[in-house]
Amino acid sequence: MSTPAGPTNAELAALRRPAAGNPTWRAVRNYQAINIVVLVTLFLGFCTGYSLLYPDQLRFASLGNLSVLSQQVPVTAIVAIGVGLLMIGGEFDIAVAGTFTLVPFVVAITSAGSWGWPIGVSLLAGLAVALLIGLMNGMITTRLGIPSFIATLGTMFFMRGVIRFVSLNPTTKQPDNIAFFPGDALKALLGGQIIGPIYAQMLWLIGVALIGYALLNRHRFGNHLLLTGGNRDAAVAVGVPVRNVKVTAFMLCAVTAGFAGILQGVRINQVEPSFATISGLELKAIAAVVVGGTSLFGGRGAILGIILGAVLIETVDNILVLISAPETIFKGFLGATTILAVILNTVIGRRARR
Amino acid sequence: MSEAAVPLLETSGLTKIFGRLTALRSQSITVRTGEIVGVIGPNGSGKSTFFNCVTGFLRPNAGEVRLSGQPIQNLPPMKIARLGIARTFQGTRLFAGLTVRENVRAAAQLRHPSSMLDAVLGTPRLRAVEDKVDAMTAELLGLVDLHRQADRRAGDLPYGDQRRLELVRALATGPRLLMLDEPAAGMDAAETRRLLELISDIRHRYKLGVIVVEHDMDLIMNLCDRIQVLAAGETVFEGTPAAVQAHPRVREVYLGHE
Repeated sequence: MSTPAGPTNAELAALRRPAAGNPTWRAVRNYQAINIVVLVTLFLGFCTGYSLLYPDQLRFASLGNLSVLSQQVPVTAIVAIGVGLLMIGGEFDIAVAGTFTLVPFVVAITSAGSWGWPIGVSLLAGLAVALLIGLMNGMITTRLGIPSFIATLGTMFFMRGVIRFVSLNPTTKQPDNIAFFPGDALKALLGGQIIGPIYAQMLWLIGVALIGYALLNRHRFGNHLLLTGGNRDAAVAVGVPVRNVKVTAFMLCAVTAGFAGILQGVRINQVEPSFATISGLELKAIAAVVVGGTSLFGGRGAILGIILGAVLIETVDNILVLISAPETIFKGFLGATTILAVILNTVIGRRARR
Repeated sequence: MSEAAVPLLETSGLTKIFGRLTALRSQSITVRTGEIVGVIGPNGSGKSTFFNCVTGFLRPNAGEVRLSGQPIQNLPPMKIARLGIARTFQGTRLFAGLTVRENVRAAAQLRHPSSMLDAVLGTPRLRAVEDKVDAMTAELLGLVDLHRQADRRAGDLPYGDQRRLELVRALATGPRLLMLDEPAAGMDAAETRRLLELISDIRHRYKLGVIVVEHDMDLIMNLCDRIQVLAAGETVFEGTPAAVQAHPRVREVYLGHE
C-alpha cells in the first residue's frame, strides 16, 4: 500500500492558471451559444441572399422590413433576457405577457387625462408595479413552495383580469386600446430612428444585454444564480441565499418585461389589452431562451445565446408574415422549435460529453 | 481556554417528529475542535434526520443546537453554512454541469466577495482576491488528487472522485465544523483507506471538528475519537471505538446486522 503521490509543484502552479491552450480559442469552443451563433448566421445569410436574388418573392432585405425587425427583435430579446436569467436560476415566469401589458398600461393611464402625472413619475410608477409583480411571483414560489410554473400561471390570469377590468368599454363590452403619447422626447429616446434601419430599441437592447452579461458573468449574483439553478441543496450548503437570489431574478424578469412593454407602447402609440391574452409572448421568450442554449432545468445559459435565440424566432415570424403564411403556423413552429431545442440541449449535449 | 469551556458544537434535547413518527428523540451530542465523532446506527435510526436538523435543512420540533455557544437551531441552512458548518450529502450533490475546478472555486469565492465595480473594471483588488481563491482551489484539489481532473465536468467523474470533490468543496467554504454523510459510500478498500488519512489530516490542518455518519465500520472504528450509537431516534450508547465494539447491546443493535 503506497500513499499516492501528491501534486508536484509544477502541477500546483498550473492549477492556479486557467486550463492550457489558447484562451481565446478555448473560450470560443466552450461557449455554450456557439451552435446558435452558427445557426443564426446561416439562416440570416440565406434569407438575405435569397431576398437579394429574388426581391419580388421575398422582401426580407428591404429597408422597410429591416426597420420593422430592428424595432421588433429588441422587444422580444429584452423579455427573453429576463426570462432567461430566471430560467438559469431554475424558475419560470409565464406571466410576462401580463407584465408586458400592465406596466405600460399604468404609465399610459397615470400620465394622461384626469391623472396627468409627469411622465417621469408615471415611469417610476410603472417600475414599481413591475417590481411588485416580480416580488409577488418570487414570494409565492419561494415562501409558499408553489412551483413557479403554477404560481406565475396564477398571476398571469390575475393580471389579465385587472387589465380587462380597467380597459372594459361599458357599451361594447370589449376592452379598449389605451392611447399612449408620452411626448416627443421620450418617443425619440425609446423609439427614435438612429440611422437607416437602426432604431433606438437596438441601443436599449445592447444596454440591457451588457447589464445582463455583467450580472451573469462578472458579478456574484450570476455566480449565485448559476449555483442555485445547478443544484439547490448544494447551493444552500455552500451558503448561497437561494430564496433571495430567486426573488431577485423574478423581479429582474418582471422589470425587463415591463420595460419591453413600454418600448412597444411608445412605438405603436397605444397599449393593447388583448396582448396580455393572445400574444403568446411567454412562449416566444421561452423558445428564444431554450434555442439559445439555456438549460430548461437551470444552471446553464448565456446572454448572447438568448439574444440570438430571439433574433431567430423573430426572423422566422417575420419571414412567415412576408410569405403570407397563416398565422397559426408560427405558434406550431414555436412549440416544435422549443421541444427540438430541449432535445438538442440535453440529449446531444450529454452524448458530446462522453 | 474558552475553547475548552465552550464546545464547538453542542446539541441538547434535539427532537424531530414526522407525523406520528418520532425520528429523533432528545438527542445530545458534543463536538470539540480537532475531534472526530462518529454517528452510527441501523437504517431509519435517525442519523440523517439528526444531520439535517443540525445543518438547518430540517427544523427541529424541540431542542437546541449551539455553535461555539451561539444558538443556531432557528436559522436558515444557508446562514448556518456561512457561520461555519459545512456538510456533504448522502449520494452527492455536485454542480454537475460545472467543472471540478469551478465546483471548488464557487464555494471558495463565497468567502471572498468582490464588488460590482471591481468585477466590471477588473481592478488589482479583484486580481488579488481571484489569486487567493485560485490558490485555495489548487491546494484543495491537490489534497484529494483531483488536480489532474480540474477541467473535467464534475458529473463525469467516477463516484468515488465525486465524493472527494464534494468533501473539498465543503472545505472550500472555510468551515469550523465538517459534517460528512456516508463519505465512504461507493468507495473501494484502498479509497476508503485514503479517505481515512485525508479526514484525520484535515482536522488538524484546518482546525476542524468533524462528525461522520457512516456504515463502513472499518472506517468508523479507525477514524473516530468517540462514537455515538443511535437506534430508533435515541442514543443507546456513547464511547470510544473500543468500548463500542465491546458493548453487547451495541453488537445486538447494530454490529449484529453485519
